[in-house]
Amino acid sequence: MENPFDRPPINVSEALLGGSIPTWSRDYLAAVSPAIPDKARLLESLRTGEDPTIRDGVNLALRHLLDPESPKDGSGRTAFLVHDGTGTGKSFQAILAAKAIAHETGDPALLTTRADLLPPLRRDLDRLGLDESQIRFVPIEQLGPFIREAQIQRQQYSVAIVDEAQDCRLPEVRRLLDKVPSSRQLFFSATPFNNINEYCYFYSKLTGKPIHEIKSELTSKPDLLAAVSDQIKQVTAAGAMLHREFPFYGSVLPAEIVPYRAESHAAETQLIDGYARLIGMTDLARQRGLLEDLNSELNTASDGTKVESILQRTLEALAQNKKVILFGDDIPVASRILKDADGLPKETPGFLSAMRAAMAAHGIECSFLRAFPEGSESVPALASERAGIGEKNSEQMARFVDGAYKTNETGQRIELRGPDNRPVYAPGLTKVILIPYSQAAGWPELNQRFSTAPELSIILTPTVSADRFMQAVGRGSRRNSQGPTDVQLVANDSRADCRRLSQLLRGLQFIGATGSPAVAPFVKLTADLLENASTQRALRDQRLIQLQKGQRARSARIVDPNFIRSASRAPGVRQ
Amino acid sequence: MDTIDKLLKCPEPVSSNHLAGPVFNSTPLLERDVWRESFNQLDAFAESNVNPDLPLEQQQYLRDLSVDRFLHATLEREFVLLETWLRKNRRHPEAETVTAFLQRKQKLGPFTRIEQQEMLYLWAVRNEREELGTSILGWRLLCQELADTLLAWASESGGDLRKQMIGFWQESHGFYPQNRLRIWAVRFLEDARAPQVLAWETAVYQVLQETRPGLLIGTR
Repeated sequence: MENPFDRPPINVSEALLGGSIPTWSRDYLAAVSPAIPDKARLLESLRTGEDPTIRDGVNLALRHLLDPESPKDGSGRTAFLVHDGTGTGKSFQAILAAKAIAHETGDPALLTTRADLLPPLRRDLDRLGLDESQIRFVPIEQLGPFIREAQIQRQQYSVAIVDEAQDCRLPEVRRLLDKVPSSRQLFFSATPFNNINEYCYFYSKLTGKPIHEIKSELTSKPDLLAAVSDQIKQVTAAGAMLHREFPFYGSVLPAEIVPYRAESHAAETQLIDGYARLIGMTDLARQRGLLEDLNSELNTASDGTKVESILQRTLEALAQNKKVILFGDDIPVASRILKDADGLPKETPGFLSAMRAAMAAHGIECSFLRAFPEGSESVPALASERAGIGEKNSEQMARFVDGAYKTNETGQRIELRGPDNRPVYAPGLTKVILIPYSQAAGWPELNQRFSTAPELSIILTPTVSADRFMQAVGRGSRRNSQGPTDVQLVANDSRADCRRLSQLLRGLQFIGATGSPAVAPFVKLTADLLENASTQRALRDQRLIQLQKGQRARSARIVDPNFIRSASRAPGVRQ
Repeated sequence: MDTIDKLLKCPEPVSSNHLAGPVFNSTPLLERDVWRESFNQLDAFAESNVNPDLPLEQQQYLRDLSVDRFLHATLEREFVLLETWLRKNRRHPEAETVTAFLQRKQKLGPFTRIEQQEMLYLWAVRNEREELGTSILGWRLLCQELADTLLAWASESGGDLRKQMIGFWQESHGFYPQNRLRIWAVRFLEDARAPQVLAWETAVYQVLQETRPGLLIGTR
């Protein structure tokens, strides 16, 4: 399979507009010169535009931001969005745009992102042979104090650049950004909009239209996804947005529904009927809580039936010398409805825990990541518990990934490099890792960048979150990937899976409507799985109805006096 | 809502913005806009409560709680100012309306109820199997849904005081949406969506009082 990362990314914007993409006439990047001449080579290659991704990105963004005719949002700011996928060089573009616009306007540029992402940005600045003059790096967490200081000093900024701009989903980030003393905003994100609210925020920024107007425009259209596609075309044609992306590097195994036995279906019905009774007896607040519990019970029950099938697939992948990443949920359940023989609530382990036990029974040692407690991202009182789990998860990940590492005196993991400054290869200690969906994002070390490393196989169970699903499959398809990744989504025709597949499909279709080529194979896979599951379910329900009808008819005949009389006259029946 | 919800025929919260009577506006009587005045101080108040060394999500959480405190304090202030006004204007044609409005004060609950939500939430996530745990988590989800619909409604053009107050939420439903919803519902009790908010809260607190009174006095 050809590695798509060996070529420039797909220009999604160009494809969307049938080739007639806005062009730039002034090369702002040409004015950016290295402060460290020894390191000029990388910047020079980007400036010549052999791979035009970075030069186009910088010049188109500046063309729009510096044009006084460009639309302004409610706070009088002009904005541009670089919606480029992972590995397309967003960090380089952010740094070079900052340098170029500061050079053009004379005012410094602000570059903000999460504090832990600033050191890699500074490393990229150094790789480009540039210094920090005219760029102010500010952790996004520190924007509040920074704005207060800027107001006191009356310092104007040429632009506020936000890397990983998906953080704008937080109202606090939006509020602070609109207080930065700058009339321009430049956003970089591979996943800027995963839902309609996030989409409306950026679309409002880029067009200057109020959010409620955009929403009512969208809801007035018969086809929401077509309307979103249409709006994106318009804003791209207006030169306010650019989207480049690599396709998925790997193969997606065809949709196949795994068996879901009759007794599982019966338990599912029993669960739903039981919850319906509980829900009927209580108030609205508890009903909402019970609905959540029902979904957890149905999901865990459905996933529990896949353990054997997924174990077989894992063994097959290992036999082919592949490493396996398994994504799913891990929600243990003590049923409110189903009982064990001893009358106690039926207990079912979380899916990933069940998988770990099944693997252990086959002598396979896995790495196992734990989910963080609910709400722990936000609630400071849960921060230390979260940190403890995070530490253990990092240890588990370190056992799985390839490469040689040592720990320095401050406890930091340092990658070992050979005499040629290339990372030293050493195989990971485990070949299987189990990851809850809530932990899918991040983990750059999962990249199989060593040519001698085994290929990856990703196995997933359904989830309702398209964002998490794409994060999960993205763990295998990266810029430095040395080989393709195969992806299997394992589903059955349970009600839980039909529901999760249906919601996943809606989410993937939304991301697809914004133009992402990497999502296309997964839209098809999910749609196929959902169709197969629904058909299988409908057929089974039909058979069940026929069976019930047959049973009813038989019972009716038995109680019918004519039937009893005729039956009693039948040969062989004793009077 | 998905197919399972439909299958179980769960009732939906009231979503109509119908008014049972006119919205009370204190500005002409007090000759000042209490809410607007407070809003001008919100940033300074909220930022003093947020630590910039914390991760973004925790900052958002603390900011939301600050906004809740601000909303509660402002409504209390409006009540106090109106009480003073009433003492001086017993024979004013609006005195009866103001008296009726002031009766809502007892529905607001104590200020500590805002801080109490964290403890209730933490207890509920650790005891979600208990009936009360399910109710607390379900109550929060229900409030989140309603708060989202209110935010969407308030962003539509054309507005009255009800939308203006939702504007103070700063585009966030809050981590504990029940806080800002309670304050909004007390202030705009004539809105069709308001009574249910207070009813949900009363139901949860009644169970709390009966089964886990310790949670209300701060013991875990």
